[in-house]
Amino acid sequence: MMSWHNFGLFALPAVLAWIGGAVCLLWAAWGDNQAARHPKAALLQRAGTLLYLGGLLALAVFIGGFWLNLERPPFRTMGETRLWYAFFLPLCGILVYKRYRYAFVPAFSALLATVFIAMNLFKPEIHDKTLMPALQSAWFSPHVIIYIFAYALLGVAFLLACYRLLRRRAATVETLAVEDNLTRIGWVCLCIGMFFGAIWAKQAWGHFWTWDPKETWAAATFLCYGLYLHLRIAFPKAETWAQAAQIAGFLLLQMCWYGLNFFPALGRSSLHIYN
Amino acid sequence: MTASILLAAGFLLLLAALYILSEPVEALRFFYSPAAAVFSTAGFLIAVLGLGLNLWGRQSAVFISLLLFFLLTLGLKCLHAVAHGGRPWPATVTHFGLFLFTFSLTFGSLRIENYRLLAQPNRPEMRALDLKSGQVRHLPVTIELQSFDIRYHEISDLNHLEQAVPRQYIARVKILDRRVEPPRVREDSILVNRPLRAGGFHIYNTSFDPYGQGYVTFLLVKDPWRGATYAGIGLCLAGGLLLFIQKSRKRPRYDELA
Repeated sequence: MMSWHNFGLFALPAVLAWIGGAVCLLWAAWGDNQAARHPKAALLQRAGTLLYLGGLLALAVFIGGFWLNLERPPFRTMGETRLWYAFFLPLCGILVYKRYRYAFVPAFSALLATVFIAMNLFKPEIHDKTLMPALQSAWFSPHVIIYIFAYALLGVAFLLACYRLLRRRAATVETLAVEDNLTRIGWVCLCIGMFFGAIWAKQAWGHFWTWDPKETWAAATFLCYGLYLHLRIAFPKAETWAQAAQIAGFLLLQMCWYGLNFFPALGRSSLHIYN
Repeated sequence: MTASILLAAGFLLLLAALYILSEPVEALRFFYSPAAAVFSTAGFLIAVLGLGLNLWGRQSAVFISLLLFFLLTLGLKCLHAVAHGGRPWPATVTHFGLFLFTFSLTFGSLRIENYRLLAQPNRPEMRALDLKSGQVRHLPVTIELQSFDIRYHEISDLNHLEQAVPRQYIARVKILDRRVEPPRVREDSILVNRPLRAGGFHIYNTSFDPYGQGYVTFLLVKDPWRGATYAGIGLCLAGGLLLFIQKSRKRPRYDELA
């Protein structure tokens, strides 16, 4: 029986494997050029990747068992979405590493995922198995899963933006290309999640879009990332403005995701509150 | 009714006129440039943020004008993309979808009819509250609530909860469509997430009386523009799919970005 009680049994090994893997990958990349690197860099890379994937596997086993045990998709509570975030963030990190060989990306995403796992370990929320009538829909899983995937991609893009702003001289143009691609794909996922939500809202509540607080902040997030992409095209030289939009987009995303819970005056009338 | 069509047609004419005029008048070409997209997106973002922070409402002049400016640049961008062969396709299809979605929601909202109908068991009801005007109207459909059931999650599902948790609300109704002679009778169920289509309306099961008087509230929606909105969503999703397909074929070229 997989439940929050034995989450630690899977989460702690996963965190250790990610940290170990990330250290291996950073170690393999250490040094300014090929000659200055570790003599067994290739082996370190392979070991790091395997460790990292092992951590993902541990969490995937937990999620699978948890899902089976709950007999409903685990997307309902904040704790459950954090669980997915902690899974997708390192997944995106390792995929970006595979593609572009930036060792800091898996390290940063492992760090962020660890924070989310720690939140779930130290402050577990009350969970139950039941799904209220409004959530009994085929749109529920795709709507949430694609949003969480977008959050994870945009989370990595945010880290890249910080890196580029803080280490302006060291950052190569490739990191900007990676950031553009991640934002583009993340934004498409955001877009799909939003439109699945609109179709579902039509079916459940009668209207595609009602400017419910959650919808309003989701639209703001969507527009802010759209602003980043258009700034990159219209004013490619003014990178700081684009990075400001990237960071603002990430902050809006947090507001939309859970920030509204802390501002009752802004989110009071939301139809998106289920707990 | 017709006002919304006139407004929408007027807006489309304005778009076409601006686009045609942009041929001789160079300054108008700004409206479909990437820079205009930046300004109009930033403007609409401010409008939406203001809405989120309760600074202004959806009907306020600032919100509506920023929304219309956003739609204007988006529409001109679509016209421009089509006039130039449509490439790159993912961007054009997505822009078109977003325009159709926003346009149909904006102008279609003027034509949406919303009614709230309170049904009591076995008492046919055709009066409903028009949620726009706040007046009671006689609808061309009559709804008779035959039964209302709450299905609960099985007890074995409950870990720590002391009371049973509802899984579904089921309203059995008999509906009389009086637009035809003789009226068409239909018996069916309305569930949460499963509205019923009858008499030109989509009928939603929205709430029930928790104190046991047995009445149920239905929302009746007539949305003549919903087809356009669905088409806009479909185009956006297709555009996203195209982007994925295109990106997986073509690796990014760093030299282009440097």
